[in-house]
Amino acid sequence: MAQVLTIGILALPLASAGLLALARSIHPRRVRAFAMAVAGATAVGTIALFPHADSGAVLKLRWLPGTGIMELGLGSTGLCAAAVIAFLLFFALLGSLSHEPGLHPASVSIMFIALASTIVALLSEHFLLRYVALELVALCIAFAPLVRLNGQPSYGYAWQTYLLFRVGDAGLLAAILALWSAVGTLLIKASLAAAARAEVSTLAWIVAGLTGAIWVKLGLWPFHSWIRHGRRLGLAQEAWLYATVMPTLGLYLLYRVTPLLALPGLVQSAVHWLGSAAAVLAALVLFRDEEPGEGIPLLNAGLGGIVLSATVAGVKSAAWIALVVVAPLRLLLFLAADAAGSRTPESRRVAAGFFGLGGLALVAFGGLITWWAQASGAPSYPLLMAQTALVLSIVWVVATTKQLAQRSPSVQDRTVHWTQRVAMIALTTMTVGSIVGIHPLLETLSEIAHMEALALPSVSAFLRHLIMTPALWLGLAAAVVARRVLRPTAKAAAGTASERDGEAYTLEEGLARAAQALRGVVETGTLERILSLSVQTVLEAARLAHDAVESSSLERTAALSARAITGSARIAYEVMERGTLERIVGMLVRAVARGASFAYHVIETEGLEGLLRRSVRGALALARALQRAHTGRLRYNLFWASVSLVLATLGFILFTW
Amino acid sequence: MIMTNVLLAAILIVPLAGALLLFLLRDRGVRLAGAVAGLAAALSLATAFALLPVLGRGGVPALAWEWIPAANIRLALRLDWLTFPFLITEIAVTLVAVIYSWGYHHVDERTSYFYGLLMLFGVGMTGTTIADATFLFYIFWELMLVASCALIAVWGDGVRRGTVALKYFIFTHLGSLMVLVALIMIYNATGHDSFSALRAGVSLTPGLLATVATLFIVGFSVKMAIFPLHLWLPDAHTVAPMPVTIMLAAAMLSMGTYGILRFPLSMFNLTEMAAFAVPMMVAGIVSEIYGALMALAERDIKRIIAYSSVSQMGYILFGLGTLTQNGIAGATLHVIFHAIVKALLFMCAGLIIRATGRRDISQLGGLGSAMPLVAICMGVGALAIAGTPPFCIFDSEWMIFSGAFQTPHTGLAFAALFGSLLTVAYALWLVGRVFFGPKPEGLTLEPLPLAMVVPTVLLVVLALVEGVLPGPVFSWVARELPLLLGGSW
Repeated sequence: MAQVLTIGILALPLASAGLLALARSIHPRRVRAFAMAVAGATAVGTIALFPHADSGAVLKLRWLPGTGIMELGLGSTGLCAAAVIAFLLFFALLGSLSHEPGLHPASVSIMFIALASTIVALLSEHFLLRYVALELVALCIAFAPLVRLNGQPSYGYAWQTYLLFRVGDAGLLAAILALWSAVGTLLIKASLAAAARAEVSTLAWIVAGLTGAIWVKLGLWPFHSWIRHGRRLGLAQEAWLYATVMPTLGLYLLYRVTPLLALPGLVQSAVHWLGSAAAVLAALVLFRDEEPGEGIPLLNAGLGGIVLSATVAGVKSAAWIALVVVAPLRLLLFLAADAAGSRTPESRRVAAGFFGLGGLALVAFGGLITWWAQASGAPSYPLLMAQTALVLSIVWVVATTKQLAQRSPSVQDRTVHWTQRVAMIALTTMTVGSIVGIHPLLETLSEIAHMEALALPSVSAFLRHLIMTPALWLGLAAAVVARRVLRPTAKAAAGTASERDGEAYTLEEGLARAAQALRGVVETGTLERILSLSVQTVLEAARLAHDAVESSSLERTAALSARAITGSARIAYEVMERGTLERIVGMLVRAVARGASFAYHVIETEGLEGLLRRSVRGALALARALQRAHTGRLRYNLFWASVSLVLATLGFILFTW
Repeated sequence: MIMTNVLLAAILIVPLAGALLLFLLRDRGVRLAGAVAGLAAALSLATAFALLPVLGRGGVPALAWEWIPAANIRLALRLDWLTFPFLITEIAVTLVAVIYSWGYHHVDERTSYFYGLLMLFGVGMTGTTIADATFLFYIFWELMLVASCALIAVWGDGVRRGTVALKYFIFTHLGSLMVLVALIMIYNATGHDSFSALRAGVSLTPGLLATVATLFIVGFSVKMAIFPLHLWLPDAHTVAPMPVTIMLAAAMLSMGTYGILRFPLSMFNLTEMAAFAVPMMVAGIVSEIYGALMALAERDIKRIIAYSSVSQMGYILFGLGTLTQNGIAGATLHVIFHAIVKALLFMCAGLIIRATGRRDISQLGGLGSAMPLVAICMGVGALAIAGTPPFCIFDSEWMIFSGAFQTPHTGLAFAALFGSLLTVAYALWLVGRVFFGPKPEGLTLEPLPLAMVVPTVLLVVLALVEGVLPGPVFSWVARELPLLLGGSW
């Protein structure tokens, strides 16, 4: 039964993809209905498999000789993640009806292939199978713009996206091969269990490769640009295919390889720092995004960095919990941001409310992760960076919520379809449910993952944790000052001064008032200045980060690097292929030819005889000289005779010795 | 036994007879020339496959005649598991090139000679592979060069074809001379020209061993077009007529690999070859990266694919240099799979050139909508050469890289693996430039002959099938391993 169901949840989307690819003339609205039915059926199928969870391998496959049997198992976490992905596809399709009434069959085909590949990646218990499935998902994501968009830019997006994925996958492949070489098996559980016996240097390579893979999949800086290409596609594709599938796979990969991350010390601390830094960068870049939808992937990427950092710090189930909790929130944010483009102000405000709730829940979850990280003894500086990222995220969520609620209507606004409201309400209910029932939720998730449940802080302890966080203080104060305090304080200060002029005080009252004024002028003013400086610093940092990352500098750097590489290649090409080397070769050939010509001239024309002539002349000259010596006076003859004897003796001795 | 010997001889004799027939027919046989060549190549391929059960049963088809008894030189042929994958690749590529020629080559009074020389080129490669004596090996080795050189000089594109043919001849002949010197040294050391002595292992002084191995590796690297010995390749591939380019890129380059496997890796054991591991790996990585960078810098569609060969041969040399079972098996697999994919890419390039009359990618673009089938074929070829699963080259790259990670040189393995990203970059960039974007002014399309399209589509299917079901080819290659490095794994 489990085997049939497993085949069913894989075959259904694949067969549907094939069907849609063949039936091009089908009406787009019917495509949507069909897609929702398939997504829903797949989701229900994964739920139906839950009773068979952890029952071992259900499908076995042999592919590359020597790599062992590739198993597809019903691991409880993989199954749960697959169910989340399938349900979210259903909700994404349901919630994007007002944005896009009909769907292109080829787009849906790609989404279905991605769904089936994602399920395989999540259920596979073999590294090679997982790698192949991840590659297929990457292909689906990268090439989705080719179906939707026409022309060179679409291919440019596809090319860039796929290349970025391949950077991560190169890391993953390197890690898999290094691990395989060290432990001799590609079965995930067995190889992770045996990894401890690998050499530390090998483990460092493995962790570096895995971190690279996770980094790209989570869309952490500077590999976040691929998520942004989703903006050019439809809502369902952006929210599900781009912003949900690959980050979820990244979190799942992080969760599965967590045992490895704890092993090598230096690499561990580097990843810890890098994760926090990526979170801060993502949060800073958030402030420069003009549209709320553009910021959502960054908000998630920031959280991804925090999860990575916390996981390395010892919060082993952080990735797993984040995978289940964050994925619906992410979709809610996308749907709410889209619904805020409604014609009616009420709908806009409600959508903004959903957005704010989802965003704050996301950030609160990040706060919980930092609390766990602190409890597990994470180093303070990376933790402070992660908390700063969270505070900046809060500011962004609040500001964006307000912006969405207050945005003025435009001609592009549309009516929000009731299905979108249903999807948002369902997702919000899940969010509220998970907040209210956080304790049982964590217990259930820990039970599914067979891990020890993380201790939840009491509300007061959590609030204390938040309040005691320096980053929170600084960030919140900056936000408040930026948004509210500065102008009213100036007015109030002016009012106080006018009142002071018209009133008479007693000495005590006067001293008290003076003290208050002094406090107002000196203390509050100083504080204000500090706060305003902080705000300016944050904004400048955001601007700088944006300039560096988003708008120009990074692109310029990337373009310069690309130009440098291409230029170097061209130079090398010119040198090696066209110009210099050939000239050098030509010169050599000419030199050889001249040598040959000279030799020919010397040897063939006159040379051999000339050489002989010269040799004979030389020999004759020598002979004549010797003859003169021998035929000279007696003492010369005796001298030559003795020298000859000595030489002959020496020669003999040397020969015999 | 007699039947086996007949079949073994027929692998060579059938295409040789086809070539002779075509030369005799001259202008009288121009209409039938393609069919005669195709039939000869198909029969040769069928004969080679007919010997597979014999090999499977543990038999080794071999035959030998005395040739110059005074010098102990024989005419000897032999088919073993090291030979078989190369043999099949060469004959299959020859067949595909002949079929492609049916659509590519315009029939004229010299057509018989064209197909005849194609057959001779194929015979040169086949003979080199199944020769079991050094003297015969070298004769076929040079026949391969002479036939291909004649094809480039006579049927090549442009006025530079004579110069290019000469350059190709001189460069590769220099490599051949190094091989010849090494063969003579081996002959002097063993006293006869049979490969059986090589298989038994040759005992040489360390200095002589180093000299012989170096001469073999460098000499065969010229044929493989490893950087910086590759300078003949881009011109030859670009100027040669497309069927010849396909045979050069997909089959002839593999002869260098075969040579390294047949001589240094068969003659010497693991300890003796250990000193050459790192140089071979480094040379492979340099060639892999350099070829890919040149492909990115190039604008001529044929030259891009030609530089891709330099890069791909780098993978193969890297795999051989690992001196591990996986690495060497992966390198051999890469020869086969690279042949499929490279032939596919050149065929697609040929279709594009045939349809548009243009080769410069800056003058191409937007062909995806007009030539969707070719776009899909080239897209598959690009993904395959980029090592994307489930296409076949992923399988061989997996083996090569896994072999690399089994060595102590993890850094080199990482470098080779990350260097492969450049392959992704140039392969997909090429497809994007040709098939997407705006269509240039004045670009018109000619209809494509079916004889050019059908083999292209078949290779797409083959690239996928070999990727998904690699078992049989893996088993062929796995059986060559005990024949290498003295079986000292």
